[in-house]
Amino acid sequence: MRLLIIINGILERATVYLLATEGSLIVQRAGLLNLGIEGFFAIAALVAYAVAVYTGNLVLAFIAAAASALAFNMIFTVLTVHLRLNHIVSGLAVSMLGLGLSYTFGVSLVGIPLPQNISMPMINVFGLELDPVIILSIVIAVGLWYLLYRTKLGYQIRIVGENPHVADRLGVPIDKVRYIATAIEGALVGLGAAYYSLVVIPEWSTGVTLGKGWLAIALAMFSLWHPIYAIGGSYLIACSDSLARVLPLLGVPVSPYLLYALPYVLTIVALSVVSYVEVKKKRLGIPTALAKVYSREERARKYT
Amino acid sequence: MIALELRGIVKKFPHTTALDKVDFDLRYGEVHALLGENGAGKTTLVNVISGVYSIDEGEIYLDGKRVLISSPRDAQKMGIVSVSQHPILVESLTVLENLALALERNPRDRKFRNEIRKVIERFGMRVDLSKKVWQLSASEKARVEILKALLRDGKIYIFDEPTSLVGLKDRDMILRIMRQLKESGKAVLFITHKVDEVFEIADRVTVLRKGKKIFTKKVSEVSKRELLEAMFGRYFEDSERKCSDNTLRSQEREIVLIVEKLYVKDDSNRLKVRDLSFNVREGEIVGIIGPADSGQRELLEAIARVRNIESGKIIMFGKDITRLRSSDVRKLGVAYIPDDRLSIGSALSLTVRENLIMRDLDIFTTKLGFYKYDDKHLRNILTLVGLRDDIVDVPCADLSGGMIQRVILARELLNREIKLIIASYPTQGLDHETTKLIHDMFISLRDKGCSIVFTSEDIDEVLKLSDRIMVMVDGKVIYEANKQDVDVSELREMLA
Amino acid sequence: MSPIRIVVKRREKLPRRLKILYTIIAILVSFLIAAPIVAALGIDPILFYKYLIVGSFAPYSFPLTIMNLIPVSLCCISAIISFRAGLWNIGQDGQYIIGAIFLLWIASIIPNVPPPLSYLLVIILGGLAGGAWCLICGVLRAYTEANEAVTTLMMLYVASSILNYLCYGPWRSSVGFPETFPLPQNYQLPNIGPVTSALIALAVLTFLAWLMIERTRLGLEMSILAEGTRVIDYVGLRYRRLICIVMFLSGFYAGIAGALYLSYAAKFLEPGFIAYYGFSGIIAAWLCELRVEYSILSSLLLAALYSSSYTMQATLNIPSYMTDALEGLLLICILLVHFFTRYRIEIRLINARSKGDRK
Repeated sequence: MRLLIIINGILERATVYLLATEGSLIVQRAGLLNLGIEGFFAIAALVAYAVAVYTGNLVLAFIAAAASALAFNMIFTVLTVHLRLNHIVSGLAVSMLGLGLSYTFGVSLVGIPLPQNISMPMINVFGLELDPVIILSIVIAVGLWYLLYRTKLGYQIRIVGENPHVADRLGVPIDKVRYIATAIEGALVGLGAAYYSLVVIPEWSTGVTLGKGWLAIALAMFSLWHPIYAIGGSYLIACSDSLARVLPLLGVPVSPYLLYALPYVLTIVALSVVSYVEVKKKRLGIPTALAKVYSREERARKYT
Repeated sequence: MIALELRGIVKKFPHTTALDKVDFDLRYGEVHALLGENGAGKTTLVNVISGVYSIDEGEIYLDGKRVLISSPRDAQKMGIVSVSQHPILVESLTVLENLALALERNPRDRKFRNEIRKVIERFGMRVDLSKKVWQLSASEKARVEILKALLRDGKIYIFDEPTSLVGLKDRDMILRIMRQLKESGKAVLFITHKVDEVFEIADRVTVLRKGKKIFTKKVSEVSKRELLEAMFGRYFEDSERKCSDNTLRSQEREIVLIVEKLYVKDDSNRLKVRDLSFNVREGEIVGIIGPADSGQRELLEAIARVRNIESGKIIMFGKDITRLRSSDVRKLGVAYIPDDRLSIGSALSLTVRENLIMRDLDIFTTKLGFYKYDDKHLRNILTLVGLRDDIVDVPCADLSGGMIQRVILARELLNREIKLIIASYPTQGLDHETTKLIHDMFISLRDKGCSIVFTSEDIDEVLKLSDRIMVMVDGKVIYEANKQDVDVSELREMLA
Repeated sequence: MSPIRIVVKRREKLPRRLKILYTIIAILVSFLIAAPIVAALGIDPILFYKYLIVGSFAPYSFPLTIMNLIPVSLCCISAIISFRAGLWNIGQDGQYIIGAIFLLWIASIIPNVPPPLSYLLVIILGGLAGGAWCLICGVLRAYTEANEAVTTLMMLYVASSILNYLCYGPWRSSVGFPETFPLPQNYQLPNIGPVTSALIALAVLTFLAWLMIERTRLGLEMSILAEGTRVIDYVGLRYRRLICIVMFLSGFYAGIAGALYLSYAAKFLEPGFIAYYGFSGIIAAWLCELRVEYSILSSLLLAALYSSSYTMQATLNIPSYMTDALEGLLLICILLVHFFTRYRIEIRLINARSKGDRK
């Protein structure tokens, strides 16, 4: 029974990581490095929780979370795509704004529990009670793979991330493609955040979302920006994440505070190993223009 | 009927005006040649028409209606199709996927593939659709670029120096395609700096010089001399100047550079230089020529120590430099002028001052690392290469390509005593004046005992400057001769 | 096709006076946008503005501003060093924590070092630890190409886990609160009058950073590093070593920030020791356009925001997180200034006129 709870915990956390990673993956494929993800993750988590508390409608909460994250992400898109500003600093600005706003307005929700009648309808898969979002996240991963490698939009996204100069001259509508990519990112991260605050945690306290968004960026990188590999990456990190809660339960004398660092350490190691292997291979087909500002008429731009 | 009309087009870049009130018109059913030397503004004009650059002043009319072309996509939608000199293709995708991407079609669509096949047959091209673009040779890429344009149903076709990077056979094919397009009623704009090609194919010709339009005339009413004078202005006269001869004395001089059994790979891990050996003597100019991308660039990069060497040896002034880095070689008195001025030769976001000192930090800083350069010296060397000295505080990104090359020349040749110059396509894409400056500097340094190794795609330049000529094909030297022994017609045959 | 087109054009260099004016406008605009947010919390915006100023520059609150200025300013320089080299160390807060932890550890082993020397040790120990922490990401970037923006952020969470572990675990010295033992007396920087003597350290460190960036070979090499590997090979610099040096120096300054703050203000460690001065430092770096000579000025604004947030939380009951939001807004407005000083927007009208009726 205890094992089942552990597995369920892993599944739930992995689903949050997977949704956020798939979102980050798609914008990185389009050449944008969006550090703002931390900000709209927090916004969406709060919106989901607030909507659930006040309306008691779970579906509405998920939709509101996705919509709010999508809308908030547009700040980043305007800054980087239209105003050609530095991706990293723009992302940090969006993150700070999002974290600040969600914590400020979340203060009134601290300690208020979700309504009793809210719970996920379960689907029985091979004798295992799974909630539909877990399955949905896998379906989305496969769907994104199809989108990236089998559709016109997918080709466009990949080319925009790999070589925006060529894409532009080929007539690919770069701005439009990047808007679509960030919209998808916003929606997926919003879903993940809603799932996190409604199902995984389920409560609201300040600082609950810490680092989840940024972890997703690294996850997308070490999954080589591949939607299917990202499933493996997310489950790996989810396992290390739940280790922090499981080991003390099993009586292993390790401080849980140190174990909280485990997913981050694992991520750094995995990212380094994968990057190293990639450097050796000099592979084509990865977003080589990641975080580079594209401006049609200009030669070189360093800081901004 | 007039297809496209430009009125008073002005395009400015910081510190330069690339197009200065240019008027121009293009009619259906004609091939209109746009002639000018490098840096005259031809490519800028093409970029304006194809939506890459936005204009500062002026008006563009398409079929009599005023239009604003704000992106390449815009231009394509209006029926303006361009064939770029450097093919616009995604290296990691196949030819078919590239075409699908450009035409917004599905590569798996059978109808689309049939359309491509029809165009290939109609124009008699050889293209393998399933190959990845990075596997293609330069002329294969050029063919794909043209195929991409032909698949579009355009009104106006722009060919930007399409013949400059391809072999003879492909050149004939390209000229034939232009003729076919014209006969089917399309408007064709043909950009070139080769006067002979104008007479071969064009109906009308417009000459640009330094961003200004000189004239538009019917080709049947203009002479070759008239065109040359319009292109070069007063510089035309001294372009035929003879260079001093140096061949008599080089035999007895000391050997300064020995390259032994060199193997070098390029960025994609392909072997580009194979088992190559040669010597350079003091006070000698060695010109290397050969088909594009035969390993010339990689060879010079290896000698300048900016590229790793797989195996082999390089000895410079009696010292083995195979394992040294470029800053060590620089201290021996070596100047290196790379072919890519923008992404290798200069640090674009740094000022001219910083660019001038960055290769000689051993002279311009103290042992503790503090600066000790003299601004007078920097301003002086700028004037020596014909630049204004008040540009020292300007970022290099704001300068034109010709000006950047002059900054590189000042830094490489005038900061310290130079004994060996390694120059990779030093005059490529440059205007006549800058080219002449480079030639003059090379020859005067050679006369002082400096040795020079350079590559070029221009056979006349190699013949004019070199004391010794080497032909490089596929990473190997297949021919080597002193200038007086060179059989020019044999040489031309080798390169064809 | 719509008849109105918005065209973005690069503009010629803007005079400095205008740039400063634009920046001031941006700061004011970000405060203006905050008004409706504050109103939504049910607080009078006028009061909010009042405390914004009173809470930071009034005689009683100004020492608090100065107290916050030192870590913000040092993190700002840390950001400038790495950003100038095209490296994105954004984990200053992690290096800040590690600098403080290392100082506390060593100081607890050798508590009796006499004052002038112990003050020097504060800076050196904090710097070395922060530098080493950041160097990990530098080495990973140099030898495996792991994106340093991501790894420095991850390392921030690792550092904060270590801090929590120490405060709740082996270093805990109070039963009620997760606090560590205090820093030995000899290592605590004294006040000179109302302000701390750490200001002198800040002035010296800022000058040294300016000297390094503007007047030495290393400064130029850093700028070349930002230009990409091909230029670096051409100039003949040791690419990997340079990345490691820059990352170490960047972490060095952030580490000093933590050690100094522990030494003159915090005195002991607690989970709340991490005050996210690093993110404020990044904003300050952007505000002064990566120029060290203006870093103290821009950091002062951010430090003021910190101290007024304390006051506002105490008097108006505005959650201190509101400052984070305000900082985010401020950064967005600064970014907008960067856009408008570089480009101008032209709105072009094109009517589908035929050419007969032009003029």
